[in-house]
Amino acid sequence: VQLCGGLQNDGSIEHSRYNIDVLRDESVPEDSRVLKVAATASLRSSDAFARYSRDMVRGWHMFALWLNTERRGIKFNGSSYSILFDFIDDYSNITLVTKVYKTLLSRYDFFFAPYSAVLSKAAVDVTDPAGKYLMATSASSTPIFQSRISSFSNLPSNIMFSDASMAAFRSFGANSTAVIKDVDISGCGNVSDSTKMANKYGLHLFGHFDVDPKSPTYESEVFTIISQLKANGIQTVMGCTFRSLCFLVSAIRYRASLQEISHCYHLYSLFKTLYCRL
Amino acid sequence: MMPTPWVKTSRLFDNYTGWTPAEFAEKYYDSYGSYPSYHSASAFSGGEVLMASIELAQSLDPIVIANTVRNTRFDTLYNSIKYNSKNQIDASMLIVQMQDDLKHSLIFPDNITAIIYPLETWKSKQCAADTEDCSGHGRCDSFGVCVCDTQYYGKLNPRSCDAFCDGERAYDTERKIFFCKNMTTFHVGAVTIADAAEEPEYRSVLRLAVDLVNNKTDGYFDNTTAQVYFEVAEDRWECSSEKGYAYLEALDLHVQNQTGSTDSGLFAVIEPDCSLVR
Repeated sequence: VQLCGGLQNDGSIEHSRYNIDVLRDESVPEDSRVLKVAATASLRSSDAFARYSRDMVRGWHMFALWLNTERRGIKFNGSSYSILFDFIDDYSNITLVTKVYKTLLSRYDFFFAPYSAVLSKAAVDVTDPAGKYLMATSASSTPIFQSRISSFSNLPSNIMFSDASMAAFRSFGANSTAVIKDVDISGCGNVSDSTKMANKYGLHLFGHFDVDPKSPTYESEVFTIISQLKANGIQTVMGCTFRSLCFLVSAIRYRASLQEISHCYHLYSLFKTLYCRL
Repeated sequence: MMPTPWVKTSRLFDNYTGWTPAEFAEKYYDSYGSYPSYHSASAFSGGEVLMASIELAQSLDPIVIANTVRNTRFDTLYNSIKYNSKNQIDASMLIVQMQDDLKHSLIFPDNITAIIYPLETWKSKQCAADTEDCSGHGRCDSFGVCVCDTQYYGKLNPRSCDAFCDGERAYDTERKIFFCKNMTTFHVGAVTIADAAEEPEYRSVLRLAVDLVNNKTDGYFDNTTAQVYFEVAEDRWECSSEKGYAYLEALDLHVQNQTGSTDSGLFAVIEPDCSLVR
């Protein structure tokens, strides 16, 4: 089903024999025609977007298995076409995403987009002007997709994430909130428009707080912000991205100790965005 | 809490696979050992959209396919998908609360009373999960640490109260570490700097863990075999579990990040399952 590999200097994709064996032995019949689809994903556990890329790739993988084995392919022009995904590691790197999609442009007509709005935009910027089909299954930022010819997002608008969250806060009886987000390349699109949405639901927005997860003082900065929020009676917090999550969980709810945070470190992957009620 | 456009209890029916979201979730769980996030459901349905559009259009022209996508409704296990004028789906957003490790409970918009506030601490949940409430021989205290009944030692793991080595425990005064005579397993629990500072019996465990990562101890980590070898009380121990490997990675990361720090953020989380090598 999948060919996982890296992009080589000559533009070729390095495939592992193991994955080619999987492709031929388990999913795609020998005599099947093949529809090739390419996508980048953060395939290594150390990649910034590894957790959600993994979820995404598993969804594509499961689809391909079902299509190729249970449904016996796509019915087109009197034949059955198995689907073949080529996954290329993007290292969660914008520059590399652009390079990979440009390289593959001449060889594929159908693409899927990587995890996150920022990386998806890099892909769309390459594929759409070339008239290629692209489906983004984990990117919600509307400006990336509107006015495009052949690019789609399978998520609701990023604004909907803020809207639902603020509506929920209000229904829980809260009247104040704040936003803490990591400054990283994901862009935290799903806490965008929080000012507008706070106004919509009558919530006092105390402020936006950006923290740099690469900063050596990250932890103390987050704790300082949390303390400030508590001192000012702020009732809810919207947090975005991984490290904020850990420290929000610990700091707000449980008066963090190191052991709590270490547990949270292992649980961080279960969330993208966390909302805590103080 | 987190916003999501999809939950596995959604009342949908997939026209292509014939699956409900719950059935999809169970199949996914069988394959990957965890339940799917909305990213996985979105990815799966993204494949279905491509498949259905090719069959409907009977074309492999990406622009023709894009036009078909734009003008078609797709009833999938992820959503009844119809792309709007901005090439995105319109979907109602939901808010779920993670109430335990596997259960995401829908709490908004229709089920506000299901919210649990305050939640159990991560530590108490972790303690209960790890030790099945202290193996029935103790209790999880307010810090999430299992306090064992008098006759149970709790191995070297502070959260466990398994009857360990039949009570035949000895104390290594040089290393300041408890060990069991004739034991067949050695289990190092989650220990933090804070714990170590307060609990003398953990200091050597912590030192062992840190030294192990820093290659200063008489044990070492073999990258080739993904095994941990170290020596305690002149016995050679071998740790080869995947879990142990992961925890060591986490430890390594934090040691690198926090070199020299003694009061914050240094996690000595090491939990390999290790066996005595005769």
